[in-house]
Amino acid sequence: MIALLALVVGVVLGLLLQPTIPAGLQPYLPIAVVAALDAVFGASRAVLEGIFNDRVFVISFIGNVLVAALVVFLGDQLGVGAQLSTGVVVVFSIRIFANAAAIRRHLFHA
Amino acid sequence: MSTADAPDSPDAPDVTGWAIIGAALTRRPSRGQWIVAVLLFGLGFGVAIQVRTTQQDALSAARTSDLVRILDDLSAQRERLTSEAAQLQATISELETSADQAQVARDASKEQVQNLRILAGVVPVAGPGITLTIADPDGVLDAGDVLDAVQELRDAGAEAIAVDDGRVVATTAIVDTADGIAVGETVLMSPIEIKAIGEPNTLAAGLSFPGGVLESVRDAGADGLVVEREVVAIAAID
Repeated sequence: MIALLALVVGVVLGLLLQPTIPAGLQPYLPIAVVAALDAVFGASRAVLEGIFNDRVFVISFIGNVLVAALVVFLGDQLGVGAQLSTGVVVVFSIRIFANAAAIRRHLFHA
Repeated sequence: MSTADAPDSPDAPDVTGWAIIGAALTRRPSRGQWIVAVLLFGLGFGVAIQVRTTQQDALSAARTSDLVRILDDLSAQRERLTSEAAQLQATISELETSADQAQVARDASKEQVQNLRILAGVVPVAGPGITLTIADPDGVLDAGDVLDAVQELRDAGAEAIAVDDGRVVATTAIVDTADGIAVGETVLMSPIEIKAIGEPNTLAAGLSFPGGVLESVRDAGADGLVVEREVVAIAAID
């Protein structure tokens, strides 16, 4: 419950404060968001399967974000940043779909 | 949220997903849940920022290489459009020039047509000019005298000449016949009236200089009178 509340508060604060992110971080924010979303969906699935673990979630969340940012950073250095960004987004999207399917099966048995 | 809406599935004894969610939502927050909450707060914050940035300006979120590519594209497009504009400008001035030339040529042709019509006598003309009235009751004059007068008027710059209302053009014959002097088809009767359009002073001077037409007419025994007029009207040739 408190986690959901925190998510809502984060969205509201982000909309209200309208902070500007440093230009250097701008390419990484969307990738980091997608990576974090993957971790959240994975955690939801784990909750339903009864194997949720705080430590695993924290590590996978931070790890996802860092690895995604690192991949994009490397891609930028190699001159294929745009393509690697697309690749990262595609991979995470596939994982999000898989986790969503598992969650759906648990909730609706379908 | 409640667990009452759990689906009525055959394996009811199992703990359903809805029950697990309900339990998770109502559980007392542990230390681990606080950490999860902090992470989700960060996620929500990031999503909000990113959504706002994307809506605000697509370019500010683009990476440097993309911006460079966009700039290159726009520069190339601008160059292409500039050269296209220059081409079209050149075409415009070209067309304008040729249109001007065509207009000038058309105007010149019209003027020439008008002049030729006047000379050919196919259009009626009116303008300043003179009338020369020759009274010859005794019939002492012959075609040569009339021809002299017409010739003198032409030399003085007459644009159109009529003798007794018959237009005199290049092909008009002035001859002596048994009935008298004939100009074209018309036989002249005294008094003979000659109209000419042109500069009145010049025409009058051309007729009345010493030894000119008027003097020779008077010497022959007839009488001539020149009147300068503001408007002389001459009909077209029959």
